[in-house]
Amino acid sequence: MTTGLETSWVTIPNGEVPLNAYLASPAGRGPFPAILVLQEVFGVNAHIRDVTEQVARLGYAALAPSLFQRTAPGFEVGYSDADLALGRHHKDQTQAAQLLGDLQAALDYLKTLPQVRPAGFGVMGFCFGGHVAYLAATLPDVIATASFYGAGIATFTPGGGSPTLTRTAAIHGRIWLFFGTQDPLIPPEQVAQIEAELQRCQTDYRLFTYEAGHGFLCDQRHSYRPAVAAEAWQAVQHLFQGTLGVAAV
Amino acid sequence: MNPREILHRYANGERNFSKSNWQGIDLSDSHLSQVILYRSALAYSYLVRTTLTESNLRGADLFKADLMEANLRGSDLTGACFVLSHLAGADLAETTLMRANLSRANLNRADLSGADLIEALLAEVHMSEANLTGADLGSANLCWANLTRATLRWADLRRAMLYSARLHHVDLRGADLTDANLRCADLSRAVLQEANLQGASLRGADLSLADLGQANLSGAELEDANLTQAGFRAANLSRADLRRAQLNGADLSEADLQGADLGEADLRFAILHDTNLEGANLQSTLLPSKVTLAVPLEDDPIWDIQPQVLGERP
Repeated sequence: MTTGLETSWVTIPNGEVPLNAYLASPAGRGPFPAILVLQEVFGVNAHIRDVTEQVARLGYAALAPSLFQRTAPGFEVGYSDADLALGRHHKDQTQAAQLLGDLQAALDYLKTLPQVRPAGFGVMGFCFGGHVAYLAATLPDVIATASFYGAGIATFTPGGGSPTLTRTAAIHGRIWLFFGTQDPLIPPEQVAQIEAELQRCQTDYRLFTYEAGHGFLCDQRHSYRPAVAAEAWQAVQHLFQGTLGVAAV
Repeated sequence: MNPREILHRYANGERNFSKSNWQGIDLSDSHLSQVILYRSALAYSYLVRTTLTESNLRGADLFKADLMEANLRGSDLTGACFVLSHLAGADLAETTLMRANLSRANLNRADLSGADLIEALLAEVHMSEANLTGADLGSANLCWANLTRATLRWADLRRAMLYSARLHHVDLRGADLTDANLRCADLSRAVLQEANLQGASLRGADLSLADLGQANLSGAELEDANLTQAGFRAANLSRADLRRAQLNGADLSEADLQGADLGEADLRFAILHDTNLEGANLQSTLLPSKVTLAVPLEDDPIWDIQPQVLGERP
């Protein structure tokens, strides 16, 4: 329990693989619009839980499902090189279809909660979660997506097959993408490729680029850029306030 | 609670339905005036032509609700969420919508006259032909809003954010836009007679063919603005920043441009009859071929010059 918030670990029914997820909601009956928070390769760790709570403080029910449930239930690590290698190992075992199924299960779970507005969801994701957020944007329930430094959108999809970028036409809601110009994992030509495809598909998008590296919003990483993070966070608030909205007296 | 039960309870005199969960409910064409729906959940509800006059919907959630032609006149909608809702043709006159979130809502042809929209969030709202006469939009956020042909006569827009808003052909006569942010807004053919734009930022805005007669633009930022053929008759443009502004064919007769910065501005074919340019910066300004100045810049009150860059004169 965090002041003004209700937080808990929950188990989401999902066939043979129930999902662990961290749920944070504003105190009160709601119903609140809901947002999925998608983890980096480091799992639903303290940073992701903190982001989830920050989202809840803005008036949304926020749910961070574990994306590595099949290979590493309860996975959460820090930011050392060994942690990164371990996280990437689990990331490499994910598959787009399974991830989309898990995310739909998470959305269906949110629909059952009395404090949640049962339609019109938002998604935000970071790093690997930024890539998965791009996938999630293709789900009919999702109307607003914030994708932070999602690597590989233009070059691969989890589990193999055509790059995630080829699914752009299926994005029906609004998507805002955030990249660092000095991100070694996402060269500018890939960002340009993504933008070209978003334009070609007439997607409702905005692309924000900052002079920063990978992970600029994560205060646990060396690449953290407080000023950039504050600006991007402001943009995210605009996205969700203007697309999902929160009633307030 | 189903619609029949609600209407039955209402008919029996019940008015307080605070914190109800009526998501997705269909109460179209119902009469529910003076009802209390404080902090109620009405997302995705159908309230087409519903009468909700003088009601309390403070903090209610009306996300994606259909309120087409609904009557909410005189209601308190403080802090309510109307994101993506459909309010075309609705009667919202004299309502309180302070801090309400109306982002991306459809309010085309809605009546919001006299409404209190202080600090309301109206980003990307559709308000074509809406009536906002006398509405209070102080500090409201109207970025990217579409207000084409809307009526905003005597509206209070002080410190409002109207960045990139579409205000083509709006009626803003007598409106107060003091310190408003209108950067990159489309105000072409807008009527701004006697409007107060003191300290407003109109950098990069399109005011072509707009009528700003007797408007107060003192200290306004009009840098890079398109003011082609705009009317500024007897307007106050003192100390305005008009650098690189396109004033081609603009009517500046009797306008006060005292201390204005017209550096690199294009005034070719502009009407400068009885225009006060005392202390104005005309460095590299393109002036019309015939200029009559109320206060001459040089000894000769009438210059007979071809369009040219003034700063380059010998």
